[in-house]
Amino acid sequence: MIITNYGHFTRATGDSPYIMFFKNEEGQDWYEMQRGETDGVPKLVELGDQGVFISSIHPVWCMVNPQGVVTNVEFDPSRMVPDDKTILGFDEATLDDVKEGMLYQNGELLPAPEPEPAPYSLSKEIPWLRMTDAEAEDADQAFNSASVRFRQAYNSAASLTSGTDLWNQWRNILLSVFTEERVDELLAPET
Amino acid sequence: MAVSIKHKFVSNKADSQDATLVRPSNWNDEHNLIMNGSSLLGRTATGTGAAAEVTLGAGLEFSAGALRVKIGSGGLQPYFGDYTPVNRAGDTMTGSLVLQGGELQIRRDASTRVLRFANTAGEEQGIIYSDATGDNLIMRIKTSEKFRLTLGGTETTGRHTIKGSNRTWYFEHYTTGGYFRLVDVEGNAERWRVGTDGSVWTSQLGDLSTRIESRAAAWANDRVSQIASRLVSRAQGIVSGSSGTEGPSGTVVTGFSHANITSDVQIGYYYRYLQIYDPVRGWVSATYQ
Repeated sequence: MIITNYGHFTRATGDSPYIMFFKNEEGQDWYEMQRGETDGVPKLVELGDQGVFISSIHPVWCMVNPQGVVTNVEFDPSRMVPDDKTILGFDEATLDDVKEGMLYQNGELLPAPEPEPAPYSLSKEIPWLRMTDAEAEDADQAFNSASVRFRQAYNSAASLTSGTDLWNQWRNILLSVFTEERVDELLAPET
Repeated sequence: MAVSIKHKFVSNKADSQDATLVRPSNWNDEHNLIMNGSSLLGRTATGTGAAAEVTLGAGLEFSAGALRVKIGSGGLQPYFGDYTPVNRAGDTMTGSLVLQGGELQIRRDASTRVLRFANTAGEEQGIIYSDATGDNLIMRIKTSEKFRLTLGGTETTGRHTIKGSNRTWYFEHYTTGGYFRLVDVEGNAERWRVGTDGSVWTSQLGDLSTRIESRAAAWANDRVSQIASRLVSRAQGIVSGSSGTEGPSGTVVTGFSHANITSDVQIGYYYRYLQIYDPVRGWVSATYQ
């Protein structure tokens, strides 16, 4: 896979207020690049009547957001709107080789990171009901050792939602007395 | 013929033997008329009187027994016979007239001054003349005026031909069509013309106004026929909390989704950019002000 970076484009002014223009760091206009009107850049795409795609100089194109995440994958560069996006062209690649969510870092395309687990809510009594009596004794002792602020917040909450500060504090309290595997079991979503 | 001067009376008597006396043969003999150098016998004084030697003036010389006129630095020419004076109306001069270091003036006291050309029969073929005002020098071929050089500019009539090495063109005011035209002689066709209304026509493009109008209409129709639109570059936005939001300018919201649920209420929405196909620019993203 050979990657050609055409730069990071942002919105720019042009000769019409009704057209969205984009230019990269070198001031190169995205539309002019497509038409082959930019010095040193070959014509990117051939279009037929009514803009029907005919061919392109790369078989695969993608846009990357400022976080380095691939947001759009195309075979036709004219379909890409680089609104605060970086444009990459790929040779010796197919559409199966480039996927949304992949990372572009240091000139290389990396696999997409594992997605964050979706947040879920858990009734407060569920972890307690999953504990043995001995585990509940240990957990209760740790709970009572926590700050008043946490205990008041915990007692006031109707449920616990993963990813929140209250959830993370409760999880850390459980980790102080149980293994991580056991804590994950106790805080697992309800089925 | 040699000059001969004798007595009118001729004696028929025979001569005597005495040579000391004038004899009849002496009476009948030629007289000697003695002159000094190149001169003529004549009389320059008025009234009746004796003949005298007349010397030759400037430009006259004797050559091989003939009196010749010497013109400038050229050779001697016969004074009479080969030349006809051309100082009267109707006089004709043959041969070339060469002016060197001088000028040929044509003067006429009447309204025009004319240099006239004619064929061998004397029939007029053309004239060049200045008119009475003195502001126009006019060339007329036969009966048609063709060229007028005026004090303020130049006027011409008829056809003007320009010959190249392999092509001949002429331009003219084409009376029949009422326009000015340029004609390709070898191609035997008009190539360009301009009418009195300013219309311009060429053999390649036809009437330019009509051509422009038809091309503009075709171009406009082509633009219309090429118009296309589409939605591209799907992206996702998040609405969180109690506030609302809009998609980025120039985008169209095309769908909704569940978003990551944290402590806030969040709604995800999808949007795409609206593109319009411009036959000149290609696909461009529309926006609004």
